[in-house]
Amino acid sequence: MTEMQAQTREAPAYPYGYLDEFMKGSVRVAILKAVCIPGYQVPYVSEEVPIARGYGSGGLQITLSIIGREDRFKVIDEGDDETVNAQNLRRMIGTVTGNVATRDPARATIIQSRHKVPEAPLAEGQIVVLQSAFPDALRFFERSEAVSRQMHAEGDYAKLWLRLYESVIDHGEIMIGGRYPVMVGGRYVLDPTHVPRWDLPMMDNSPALFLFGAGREKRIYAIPPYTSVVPLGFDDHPFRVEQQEGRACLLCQSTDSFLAPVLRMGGAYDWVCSDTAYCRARRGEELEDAQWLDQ
Amino acid sequence: MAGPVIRAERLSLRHGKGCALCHAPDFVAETNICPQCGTVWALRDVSFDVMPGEVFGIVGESGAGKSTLIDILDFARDPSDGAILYAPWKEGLVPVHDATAQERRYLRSFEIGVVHQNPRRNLMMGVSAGGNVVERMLAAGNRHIGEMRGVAGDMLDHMELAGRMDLKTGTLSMGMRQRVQIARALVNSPKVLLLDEPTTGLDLSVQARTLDLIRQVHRRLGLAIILVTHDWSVLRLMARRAIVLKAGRVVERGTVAQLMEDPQAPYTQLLVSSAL
Repeated sequence: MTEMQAQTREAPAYPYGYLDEFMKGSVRVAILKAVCIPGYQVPYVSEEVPIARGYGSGGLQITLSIIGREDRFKVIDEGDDETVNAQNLRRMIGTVTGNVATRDPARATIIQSRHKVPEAPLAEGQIVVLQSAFPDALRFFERSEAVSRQMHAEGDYAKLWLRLYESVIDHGEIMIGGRYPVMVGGRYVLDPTHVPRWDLPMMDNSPALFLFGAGREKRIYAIPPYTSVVPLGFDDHPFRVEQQEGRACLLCQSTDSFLAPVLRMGGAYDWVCSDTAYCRARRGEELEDAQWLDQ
Repeated sequence: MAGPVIRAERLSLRHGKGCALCHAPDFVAETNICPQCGTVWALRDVSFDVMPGEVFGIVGESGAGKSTLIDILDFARDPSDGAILYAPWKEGLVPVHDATAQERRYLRSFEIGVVHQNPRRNLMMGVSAGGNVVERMLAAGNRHIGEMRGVAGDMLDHMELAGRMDLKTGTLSMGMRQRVQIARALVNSPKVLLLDEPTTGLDLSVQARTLDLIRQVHRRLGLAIILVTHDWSVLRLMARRAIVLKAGRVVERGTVAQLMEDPQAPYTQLLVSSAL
């Protein structure tokens, strides 16, 4: 047995946070660059992590690269703490770091999320890590990466506006649900992932830092704290969030949070808060911390 | 404005490095391919001036370099040698190759309108006819749908496309697409309009109507038009002065009447006689 093999045997199975220091370093460099240029997509070496590409590998790499021993993290999937995706990621992060997971967004320093920003107001020092599937808002009509980078560089967003125009012509209003293009810091248009339109005003001038990781597409981009986030809209057809008149959460009667439909027997819909932690807090339930084992 | 709007100065575009033989200023060949090194000279030493409010013709057979010339004037590609000087942009005639990407985009959006032979190069077929026109106004920073629809609607009415504004461009006929292109090219009131065979492939009645529309627009807006065509009847109808291109070179220049009545170069004589 060579010396090297012996060392490998004795070494722990993985370092703190699973990724080795070199990988963490390369991700952190990309994050710093992304924070310096709000909305700019920074290419980075998207390494292998033990989940498949497209299941949040970009967000997971960011979380594992920035997490420290004192951090308390929260993982949500479309607002829900308890979906399979959220539970698995929470268990994974907990296993490789030993950090404490929480369901309370106010106590979490890192919130990894898929397709939802927590309804509770965010504070300074908090980091929201969003899992992004398609980093480039221009990909809808420009297949070439080289051309779309040029378009970003020149601020050539006419075709993006044209997409909104066509939507107004076809449907009478802008019918874009997720991936609604937003202008960040007055310079770059970015794809805010599949968060509902409801969440976009929450990103505007937020005290928290938003990091977007696209593991499959190998891009990281960011919205720094207190940066303007303006959803695109026309003077006579402005941006609107989802209209929820006449609906309230079935469980907590909330009307000021984003509501998700639940199909009832007979084909009608009930509506419940998409953000389960928000809903439970409104009902007076305790949002407990959890060691990585949920059961 | 007294001076020319656009001046092309010894434009050349070659595919290949060239050799001592074909770089020599007195190099003449029957085709545009150098017999020694095989370099293709798509354009060679093309110079002309276009005055404000003028319709300037460029004639030549297939492969003569007409569309290449339009591509260079539209910044779709850069010449290997020579320069384009452009007047309405800054003070005096300024070479556009010094321009930054942003300045070029500005020129393409506001100062130059282009109509390609193939509408697919300009138009998005999955987008409505009105949307294709509106896109230019969006690029110019307009953010009011009602206002833009008013302007684009007027423009399309002029092009005899009333009521077709919200149809997808792909469902329109070739002649209609061509007119959508013209509306799109004109919507930001450019100073120069580049027309690359705007009526080729259209039937005769549509051809006549389209040319009539272009003439009306020209009279109304007084812009300079560079018209590329291989059709002498179109040229006679529209243009005052023209150059004749062959194998990437200017073989003759003059007024259209001169070229047609008294062609000097053997190639022009051939072209005119085959047209008549």
